[in-house]
Amino acid sequence: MTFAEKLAKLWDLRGLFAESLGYSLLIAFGAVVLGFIIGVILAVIRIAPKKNPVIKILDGIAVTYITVIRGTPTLVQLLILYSSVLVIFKSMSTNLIVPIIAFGINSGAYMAEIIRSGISSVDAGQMEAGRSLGLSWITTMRRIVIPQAIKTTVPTIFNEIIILVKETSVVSVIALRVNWEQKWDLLGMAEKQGLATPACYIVFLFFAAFLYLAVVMLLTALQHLIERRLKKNER
Amino acid sequence: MNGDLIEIRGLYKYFGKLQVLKGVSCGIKKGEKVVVLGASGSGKSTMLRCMNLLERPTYGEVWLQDNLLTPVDPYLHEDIIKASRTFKKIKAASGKDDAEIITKIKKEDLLHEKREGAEYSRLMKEFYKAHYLDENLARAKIGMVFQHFNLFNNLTVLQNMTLAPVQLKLKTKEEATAQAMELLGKIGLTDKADSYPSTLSGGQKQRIAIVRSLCMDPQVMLFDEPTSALDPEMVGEVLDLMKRLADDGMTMIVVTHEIGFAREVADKVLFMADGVIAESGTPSEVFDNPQTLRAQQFLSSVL
Repeated sequence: MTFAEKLAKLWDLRGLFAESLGYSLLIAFGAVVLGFIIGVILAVIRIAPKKNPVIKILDGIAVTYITVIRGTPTLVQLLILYSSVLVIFKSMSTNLIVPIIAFGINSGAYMAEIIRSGISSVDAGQMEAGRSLGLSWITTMRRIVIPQAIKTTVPTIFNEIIILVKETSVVSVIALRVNWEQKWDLLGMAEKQGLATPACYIVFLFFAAFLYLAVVMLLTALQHLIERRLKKNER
Repeated sequence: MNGDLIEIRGLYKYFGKLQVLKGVSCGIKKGEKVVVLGASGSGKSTMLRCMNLLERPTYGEVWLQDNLLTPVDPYLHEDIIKASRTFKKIKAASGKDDAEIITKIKKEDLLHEKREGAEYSRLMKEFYKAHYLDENLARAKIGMVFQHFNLFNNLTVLQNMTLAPVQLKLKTKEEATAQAMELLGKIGLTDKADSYPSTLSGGQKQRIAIVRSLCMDPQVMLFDEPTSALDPEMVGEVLDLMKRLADDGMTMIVVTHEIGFAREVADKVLFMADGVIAESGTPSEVFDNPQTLRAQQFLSSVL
């Protein structure tokens, strides 16, 4: 097969690649949203004054969650979740819910630590000022401290989002090995088509790599845009 | 309780083993202006921060008129003489650390409660229920100005001022905005309403922090070294605003090193040393005729 023929083959498959890229992005987007929500909740629990037993128990749960999720490989977590779904529902889910939940749970642990560090970096005087005006701890957190914490952590959060986008390629293992019915993610599609046409294998992989790179570069541009916008807000 | 707007009774505060307040009591009447002086580490800021519970006293009570902001301290209501006798007895016999003795007395008091039975604890609970005020409600009535201004960095000046009254449903957004603009007009900073704090000078920040507190219509204002973090040329504008506030009849408790301000504005000066109020009186009593050696030394070093 000449290089031109390989490119022609790639062009024939453009619809499938576009679709799989869409699935990859959808998984990443869902996981980012879920992870961010989990992260904020865990961070607030971790940072809350340990005044009553309920908070202490919640804090224990949060610490355990973060330790376990950060301490085990993403692929293992994904396989465990798929197997659990298989055992409980007697069938493999073919939609994207399972990977979104798996990556969301995973990312939540990292987000929690990122946001917690952001909250700690906000001057304690901000909380004191809010409390001195009669606002409750949680209201001051929500209106004053967390917005400032998120702002300082934008670069780190985007770092996590970028890692997450690339990590969705782990789903290809599920698609190839466990669940042929699974919607194919970008890397999975490249491998599937590459196995069908071995001569094109490397071309497809390079094409997949190129698409990941393009998405990450777009995200980086978005990050800089957001950072500039936030800075302008304060001048 | 006895006609005072704000009263602290027998306040003790420990940070771990460090004893910062060693039994501080004082009352401030409506409209009174009190200036608190003392060397750093004397406990004056801690006392002020205990008044709105930013710092929780280890023992003792804080009252806002008829409202109790802290748990009931049984020793301040009965057996106070007995308690002090016990304290002295244990102190004389063992020479133990004050904190240790107080913990021991507390334990004895629990026994006392057992002995007196359910009636005793019922009365205590009833007393507490009758007077207790939620800390957030209490703080809404007590304004506080900080050394480092602590304006909310993520909000504009106007949002800084309207957030709390609107959030706590004390005012509608329109009312709060109108009042905030009026106050900004009074300090000549109307054009800064939509600016963010990072664009303001220290003096502007502190004046806005003061009017932000005023937006809550507080009954009393606490100032924690309001001019200590300012460049010298900006101290005047902040002190002027505080004087205007004093002239308007605001009850004020001011921790400061500004002796001139104390002389001019204060009805009462408290001098703190080593966690107690070492001296209190009118400015001329304290400044011109200090009784204690510590006050004399402190005043000769700052005057």
